[in-house]
Amino acid sequence: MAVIEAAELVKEFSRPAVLEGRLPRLRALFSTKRDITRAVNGVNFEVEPGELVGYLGPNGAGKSTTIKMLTGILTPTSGVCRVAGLEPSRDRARNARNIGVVFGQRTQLWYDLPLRDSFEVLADLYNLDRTTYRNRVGLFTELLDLSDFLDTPVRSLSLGQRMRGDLVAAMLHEPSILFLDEPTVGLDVVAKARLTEFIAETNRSAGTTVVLTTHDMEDVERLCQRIIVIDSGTVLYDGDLSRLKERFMPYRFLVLTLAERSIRRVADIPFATEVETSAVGTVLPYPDRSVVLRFDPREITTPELIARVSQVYQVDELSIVDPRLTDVISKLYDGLLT
Amino acid sequence: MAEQTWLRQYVILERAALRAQLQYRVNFWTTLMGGVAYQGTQLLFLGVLLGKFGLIGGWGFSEVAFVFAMRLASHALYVVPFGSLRLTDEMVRDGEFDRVLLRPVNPFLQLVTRMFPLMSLGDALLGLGALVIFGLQAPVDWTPAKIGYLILAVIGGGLVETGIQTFFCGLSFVATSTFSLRIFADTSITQFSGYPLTMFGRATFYAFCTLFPMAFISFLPATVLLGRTSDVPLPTLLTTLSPLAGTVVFVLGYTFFTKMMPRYTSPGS
Repeated sequence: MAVIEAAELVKEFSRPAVLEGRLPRLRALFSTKRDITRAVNGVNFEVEPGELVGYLGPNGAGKSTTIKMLTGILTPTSGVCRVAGLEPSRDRARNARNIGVVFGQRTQLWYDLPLRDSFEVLADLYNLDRTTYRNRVGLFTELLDLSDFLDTPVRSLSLGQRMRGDLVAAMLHEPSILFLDEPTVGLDVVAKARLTEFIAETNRSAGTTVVLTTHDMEDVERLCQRIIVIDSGTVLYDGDLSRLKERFMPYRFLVLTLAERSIRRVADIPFATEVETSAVGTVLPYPDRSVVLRFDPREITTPELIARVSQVYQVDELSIVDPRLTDVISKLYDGLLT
Repeated sequence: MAEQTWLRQYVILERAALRAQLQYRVNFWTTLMGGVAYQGTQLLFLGVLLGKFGLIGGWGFSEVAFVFAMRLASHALYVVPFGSLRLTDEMVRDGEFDRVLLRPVNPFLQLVTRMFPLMSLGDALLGLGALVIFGLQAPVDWTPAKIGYLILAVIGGGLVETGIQTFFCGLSFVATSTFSLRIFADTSITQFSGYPLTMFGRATFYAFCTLFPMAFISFLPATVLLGRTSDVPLPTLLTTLSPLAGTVVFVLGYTFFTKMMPRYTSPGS
């Protein structure tokens, strides 16, 4: 039984129309014309309990709008969404007890109070008894290393500290479902690693269902088994992360560093095509001596290809590189694959 | 996790708001004094006015002062528990209202506890003080029934103002900025409702009873207590029932607020 369901979910926004012609701004003050945008345009998906799903899409794709409908902030224009059996917009307060939400762009903590006070207010609102509260805060403090700034007012926290605080605030009442909207945006490498590790652990040990939006493909590769990609308000892909690569970028790269500078280019190697070195997506140590071959492992095995290449070239070094998720995703966004 | 009562949630949130305000000490003292000063100048102005002219609309100083004191007390009953409503506009516009919707607590309750009403404590002191002083000076033979009526009238007046402000909160979900409307309501209530409203003429008076129901805030119930219902171009029964108007206005305002809330657009990503 799915714990999150979206069926033909639609959200439209309307705003006063931008007029053309003479004195458009003045006339707009008296106009009743409105422009309608469909931020989410018939989205369907289901999430099973305990899944950790990446909800991806370019800026303005409708990710946040979807999350806001699932969390009860926005009321759908049409279609239905259900979270743990409840319709969030109708049963807002009960839904709020089942879910935890973190918006990377916006804090939910009391800005003027020390972090600890925010936790206490939330514990009171969620009616936690003192022992449970103390145990949980103790555990989170240890896992996320909060002890140094528990008594600092939220307004004085760094972004990384604040995000950790927000995550704890969202999880104090032990929700069975977590919505994380860009939780790692703007964080440094260490802070990000700590946060993603915590999210993975929560999902693993407590079986918490997690829906995560992010632009960071490292987060996705580290955390998500399944991803849903949307653009212009509709789902482009929904499925396994590994299958996405198989389906849309079934090839791998063989990167060769050749022994000699002036080498005869492109011998005809079957099942392999030479491509620009930039296709690999990383900086190569010796660009002028490098050759990148693209091949499909279903057509030729890696050892076989290496054997053939070695017959033609004097090779100093070679390595196999998989296409990066970010390239797959950006191709998806560009609509090249649909 | 059992549900708490509204009162419990109110206490939790108000306590947090107070703690937040106490973080800024200078601000604490200046706002407290500012509240007294702001409403006090209104009272001084009234004193000067009556000192010069003696009568306003056929009403003597002690009578007008009593209407004015009821107004101040009613205003305190709005502004102390519900004054944070004026922040709604901004919360809706910059998306901070998201947070309200993510918590398992009634949104209206969260809006009214957004900020602890420090400045309004000045209003409360002044309102209560003025009501006692001018109530004793007013030409009213106080009986327990009349005191009861006065209390109901003051509560009713507070609810009228709360209802109007709640209506504006509802409006902010669709109109983005209701700032000027809110200021308009606030100043008109401050400047008109402490006076005998019949002095503005019949048409204006009816507007004060319907469109912009500030006649219910203090003037109408005051005429009942002062025995001047004959001044009012309304059936006496209606005038007598005027303290109930607060409940009506508040229910209307609150209903509008809840009807408009689903139209919140949650700006920002």
